[in-house]
Amino acid sequence: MPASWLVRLDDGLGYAEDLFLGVAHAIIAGLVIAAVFFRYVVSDPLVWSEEFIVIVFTWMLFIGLSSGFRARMHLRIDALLVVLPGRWRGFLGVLAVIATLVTLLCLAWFGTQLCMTMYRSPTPMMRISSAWAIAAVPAGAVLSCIHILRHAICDGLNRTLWPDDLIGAAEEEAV
Amino acid sequence: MLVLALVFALLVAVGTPVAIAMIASSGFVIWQEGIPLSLVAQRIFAGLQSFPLLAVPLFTLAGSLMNESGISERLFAFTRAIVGHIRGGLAQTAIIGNVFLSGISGSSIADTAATTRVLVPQLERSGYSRAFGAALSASAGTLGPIIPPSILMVLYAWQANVSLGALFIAGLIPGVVMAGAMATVIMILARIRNYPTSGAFRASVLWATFKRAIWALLMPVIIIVGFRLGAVTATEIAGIAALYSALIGIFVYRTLKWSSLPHILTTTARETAVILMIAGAASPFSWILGIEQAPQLVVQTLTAVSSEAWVILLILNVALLIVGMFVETIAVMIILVPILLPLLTTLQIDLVHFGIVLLVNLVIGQLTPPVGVLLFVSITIAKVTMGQILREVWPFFLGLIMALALITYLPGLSIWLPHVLGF
Repeated sequence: MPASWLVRLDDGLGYAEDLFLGVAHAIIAGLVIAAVFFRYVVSDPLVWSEEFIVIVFTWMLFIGLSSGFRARMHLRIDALLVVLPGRWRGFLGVLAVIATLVTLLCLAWFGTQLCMTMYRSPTPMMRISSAWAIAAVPAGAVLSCIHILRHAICDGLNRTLWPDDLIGAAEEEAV
Repeated sequence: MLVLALVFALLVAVGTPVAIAMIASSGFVIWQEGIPLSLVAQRIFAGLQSFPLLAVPLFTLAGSLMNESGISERLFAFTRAIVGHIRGGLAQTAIIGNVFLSGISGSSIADTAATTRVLVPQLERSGYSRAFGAALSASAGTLGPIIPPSILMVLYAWQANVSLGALFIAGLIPGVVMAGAMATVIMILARIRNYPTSGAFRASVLWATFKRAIWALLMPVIIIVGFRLGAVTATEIAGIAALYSALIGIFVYRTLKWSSLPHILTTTARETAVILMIAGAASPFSWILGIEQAPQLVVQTLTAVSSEAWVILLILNVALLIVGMFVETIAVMIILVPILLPLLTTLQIDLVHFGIVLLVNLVIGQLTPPVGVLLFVSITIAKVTMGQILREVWPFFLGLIMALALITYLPGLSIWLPHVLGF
């Protein structure tokens, strides 16, 4: 059954993403504080830190993009959805899922192209390939597509991008 | 520009996430113009390569760590000791407590959730209606983004290129004005409905609760002093705030467990990504609006109506309140600020002042249906209906509109304090 390996893949990726997000956030917070310490206390600034932090931050945001799809957390405008009957909501769900998937696939494709173009261009401080940072864009987009597919297959198109209870979503955001 | 607006509106209406709708509509226009589509990916990427934006995850982390340490209970106990003895005192606790709570967290949603959880049961036991408690908690939550630190202010400062320190300080007096307006509403309601007092004033209780809350109360002081000293950047101050919150939670209050840190780091990272993805997606979107001269069109249209700053501010306030009713706060801000900046410069409206006016408008929008997120948070936690909360929330809404008028037409309320403090 195709859905079962998709569920396993999606759960595995979801776990890895959560781990990555936590570690990336800890690295960012730790390095920002360490940079202050080294600049003012040791008087020996970590010149590479800002660039490295921004690269980790970029990865955190794009993995977070994907994780946001898994958690159905992306901000949307519910004004129309909450007043429409369920059948219509299902129809709009199809359109929204198609638009989202097409956009993400384009982002993955053109992000990969950008990576190839920038492959030989080094970053200003650490002199590593800029592709290390840009690769976050296609990676996040592809991972997002996998989560969307899983929700679409397992929960139906009208519950792929939004939780069943649109109002309950507000509480989830609050928690 | 019409194509961009139409595609965006259509996608948003069918429920496509705002960030995706912005990327898709700008991609569509760029494709139509025959420009290589990798430009979209490049602009999103470049838009997010920003050290100042790092203040968003770090301030969110600081607020979450303090929240997890159970700081809201301590702050509400302290404010109850200050104002509990007056008529309607427990309701006033929600407002004054949120002035302090906003000094720790940068989010109105988190503040409303904490206030509803802690205070609605207490209010109900003291004879207030549950719906009133929910309406009060949602209204008090509006102070979150106005009193520093504030995630929305980090985004506005980044977009409008103004000093975040100046913006943080500028929010202090308007925050107090809003709190004053809501406190006045409670005083009037307390007289009409004969609300109770909650115990006599006792200095010993005040001192005991103050000692329990002092470490949390110091956090905004650290942030403001950090900005005033000017030695560290906003992002570094946010990092220090996060470290301070973790140390206080783990070693002083001992209510924050090491084991809960991974979960907090992950969820705050995800929340940040969801917010900042809109900021990244706005980059190609505003680029198109820029080359199609949308800001100039706004300047021409609005200055044709009037060249008086006060008239334009009135129009903007009404428009923002209406837009805020239907569209999510961060999306409104990220789309509108680049379009409005040239207009503000033409009319010589101070950008720090306007930032505060804009934020007050947007938080009031969070309190109005159909997309009033604070109402949803509060009714979900307090288990009341939308109809019940709406019957109780309107006096607070009117109070906040009056505060908005004062903040709009007395720019000194926003810009005097940053000026005096040398920002």
